Amino acid sequence: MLMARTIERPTATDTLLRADSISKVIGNNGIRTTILEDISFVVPARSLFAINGPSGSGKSTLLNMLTGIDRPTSGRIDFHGHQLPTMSENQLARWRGRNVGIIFQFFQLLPTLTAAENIELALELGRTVPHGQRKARVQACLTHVGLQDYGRRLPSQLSGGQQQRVAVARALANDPPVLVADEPTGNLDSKTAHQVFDLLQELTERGKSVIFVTHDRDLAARATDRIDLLDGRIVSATFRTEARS
Amino acid sequence: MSALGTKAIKDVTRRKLRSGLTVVGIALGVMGLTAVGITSNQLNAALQATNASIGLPDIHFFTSPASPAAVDLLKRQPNVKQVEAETEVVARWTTSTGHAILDIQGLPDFRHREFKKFAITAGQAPGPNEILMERNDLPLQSFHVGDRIELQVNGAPVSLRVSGISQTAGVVSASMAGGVAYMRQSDLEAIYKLPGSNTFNVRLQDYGQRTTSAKQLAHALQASGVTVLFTTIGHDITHGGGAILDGIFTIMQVLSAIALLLSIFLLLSTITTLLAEQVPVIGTMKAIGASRAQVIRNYLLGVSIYGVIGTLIGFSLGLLIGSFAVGALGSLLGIYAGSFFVPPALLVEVLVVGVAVPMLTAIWPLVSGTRVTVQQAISGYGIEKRAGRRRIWLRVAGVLFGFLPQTLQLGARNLFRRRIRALLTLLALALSGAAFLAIQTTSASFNYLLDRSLATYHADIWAMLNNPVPADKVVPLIAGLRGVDQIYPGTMSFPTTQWGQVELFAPVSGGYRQQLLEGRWLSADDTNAVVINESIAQKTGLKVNDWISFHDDLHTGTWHIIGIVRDYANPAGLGVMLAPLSEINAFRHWPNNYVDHLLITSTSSREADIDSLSKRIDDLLSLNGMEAMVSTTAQQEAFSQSAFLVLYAMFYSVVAIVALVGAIGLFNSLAMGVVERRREIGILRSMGATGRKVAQVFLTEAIGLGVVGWLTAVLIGIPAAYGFVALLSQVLLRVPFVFNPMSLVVMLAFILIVAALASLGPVFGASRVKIASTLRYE
Repeated sequence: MLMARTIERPTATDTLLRADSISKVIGNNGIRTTILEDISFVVPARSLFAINGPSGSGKSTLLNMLTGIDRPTSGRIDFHGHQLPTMSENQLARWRGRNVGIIFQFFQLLPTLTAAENIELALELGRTVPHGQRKARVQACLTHVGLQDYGRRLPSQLSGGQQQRVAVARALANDPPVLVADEPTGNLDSKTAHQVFDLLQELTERGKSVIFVTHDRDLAARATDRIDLLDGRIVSATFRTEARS
Repeated sequence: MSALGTKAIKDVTRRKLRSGLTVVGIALGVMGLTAVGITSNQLNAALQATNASIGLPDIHFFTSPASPAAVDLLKRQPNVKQVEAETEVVARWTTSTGHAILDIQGLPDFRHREFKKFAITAGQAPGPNEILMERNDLPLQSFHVGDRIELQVNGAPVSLRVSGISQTAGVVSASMAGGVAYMRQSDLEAIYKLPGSNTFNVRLQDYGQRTTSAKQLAHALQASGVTVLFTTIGHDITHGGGAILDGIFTIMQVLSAIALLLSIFLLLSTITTLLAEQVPVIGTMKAIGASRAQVIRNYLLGVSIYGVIGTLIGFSLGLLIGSFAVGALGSLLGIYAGSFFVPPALLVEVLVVGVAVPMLTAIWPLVSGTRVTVQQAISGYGIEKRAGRRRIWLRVAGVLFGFLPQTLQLGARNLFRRRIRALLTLLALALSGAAFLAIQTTSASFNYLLDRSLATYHADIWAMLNNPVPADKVVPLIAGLRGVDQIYPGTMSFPTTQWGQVELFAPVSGGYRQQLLEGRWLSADDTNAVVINESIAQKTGLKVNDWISFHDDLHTGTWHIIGIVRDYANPAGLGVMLAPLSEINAFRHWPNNYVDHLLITSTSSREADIDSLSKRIDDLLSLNGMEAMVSTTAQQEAFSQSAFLVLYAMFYSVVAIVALVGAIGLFNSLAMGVVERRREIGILRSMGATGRKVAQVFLTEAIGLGVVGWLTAVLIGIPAAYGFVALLSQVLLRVPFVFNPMSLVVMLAFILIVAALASLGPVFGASRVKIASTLRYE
């Protein structure tokens, strides 16, 4: 059954994601606005993939489509064998829970739960780790992001950088092969931004694929692969990871 | 505890006031249900047990004094198993505050008693010149075993020693019906110079034949020259009081249901507000893998926490109140409530109402509220796509409020920004207003009933005689008193028709202000003729020239209806039938000129003079061996109003609860408006709006919702008021529906006060919003 399936761990030479001719048009009262127009690209597995562009270029919309959060008006998105636009909201939710870790610009931690509980929540929803092993897994994730002593703190008791690292830990909780980040450093100061980015970069070295959106040219330049958007179109692309397809 | 469980608990505990009030709402409904369930179950069981255990007679006759031969006469009749003759006297007991009525029963034997058994809890059975006092008499006058009490017998004091204290099941509180005591039968007859027994308790072989047997026995007594004055057939220790209790329980159940209905509104409001607050949280949960069902289950867990806590609190309080009510009512009715028990069906009912109903209620807003997609949830609040659907209201608001300053217009335009929430708020406010109107109308109707009931009779003083006496004996006696203007002697009986119990009353010309609606009034030569009141005509469909059949325990009658009047007497029964005194006495087989009450007018309209005359009448009747309950019209009115006080207290408690629910609904709605519109507030502030201006926007919204709520309440309130008065008429007292249009104005003030109070917090919060915090992420 589709929703019970998980992604087979892609090898270095696999294509993680293929987008074919995707467009997004929004309309209200006869006024139509094209957000994305005929976009096609591939994301190689185990790459640090950047979607770069200025404000309003459609990069966040594109990212939302790659995770099934938004749906294209036309076109196909094949996420390692899964046709995302054909899946229901609940199927997408379960699929995301096990296969994709999402990191938001504004962290989106649940304010009433501690850092550890936020991570544990992802484990409960993903159901990838037996109940008895969850606490250990939470601690491991916190240690991974350098916050092993901050598990009992509420988000409001953490700095922006720490909150984002908890968000990264939460994204890693179910050990998904792919992490998706929307402006992960957009709400952080320069130093903290680089620390968080280093963390993401390190994850690709451990076999994860990371797709991130940024308007920061310096950060985009650190990606292994990237596409640059302007007004809903790809204006340039750089691929350093060798993809089989 | 799992993270999802922790989240559910923290959702509940985070907004303490709102959660607390939701729990209170559920608790109130459960409390009412439990208290009513416990009280009615326990009392009914106690009544049945008491009826079965104390040896109530199958038939009880109160007669003119009869010789011992009457006992043998009764024993010889078919179906009679056992007969006991006693003597009963209504005495005047001198107390420190004046006097009290004391019902003394003279018994032939205190050791082998078969009927109306009692226990002697202190001292012993009375000997010569001694009296056994009932424990319930103590509130009237303190006494101990060995003390002496004084009776006034035909104006002369008689001193008796208290031999002991008894406890009798079924003896109601002395403050309601006077005291009870026991003496040796021979002593009592000697003191009051009675020539024989006047009370006969009969046990039958076949209880099912009690009505037929009672008629036969009464006929036998009357044939031997004994006048049967009152008869009681069957085992009902409350003498019909159980039906009134059932009526009160029904009303309490309805009020509990209203509280519960309102708690459901509160819950709906709380859940929709919580969901609106937590849209980003829902989005995040979905983004990290939660299905919609998981999200719904998580919030349902929170609702179940509300339900369980509310049920536990409500059930505990209900048990306490129920236990207290059982004790108080048991003491009032003179029954022992027995060991405390909770019926299993009540437990199930409480769980369903307190936990399952809130969870079922929450499902719809949860299904609807969790429909939000991840993208919608995490993209924040921008320009609403759905704003287009509100175009009509925006245009209407533009036309209606175009003359107002922009800040006020903004508030008015936002009334229906969130339609479902606005609808819930309006419903809560409208329900508050409707409940207020219903209670106001009910109070007005009660007051009208009281006023009209008393105004029908031309009397300043009412003397209700304990035993009927010849009119020519009592009227000249009272007429000789200074200050007496008119005396209207009469009689009153309560026979039964196929539709219910009626009051059969003998009006006397001048003493009764008839309001004839149809037909004609009674004339001196009418026989078997009756005038019925409007209520009987409405409930039975009987018209002028129809015949009405009725009966008491012993006699039956079928009379011709000659007229219909407006008369609000006997509101607890079917209505009132008016007939000449001679006809009523003939129906009851009483001597032609017997009367059992007097309506008296005073020559002075001063209250002090009327009070003084009332006391002198009381003394004079007692001096002449005619004990009576004498009271002024003002005292009767005050007594009736005090009887309604408990009902009023219950009604206004419900009004307080509904007002609270309405206020919380509005509070939630406005608070959510502030949360959702922080950016709008920030923009206003950045454009130079002061805190006061921002507050005006939300205050306008609150007042606007209040006014629309009032309009809705007017629409549903009048039928609701009519329905509530109709329910009261059905289960308790027949009350005319009296609607005062001023109630609508009072209701508007009530709703606006509720709206203003509810808006204080959110308005204050809105006025203190800082620009930086609202626009930081924009």
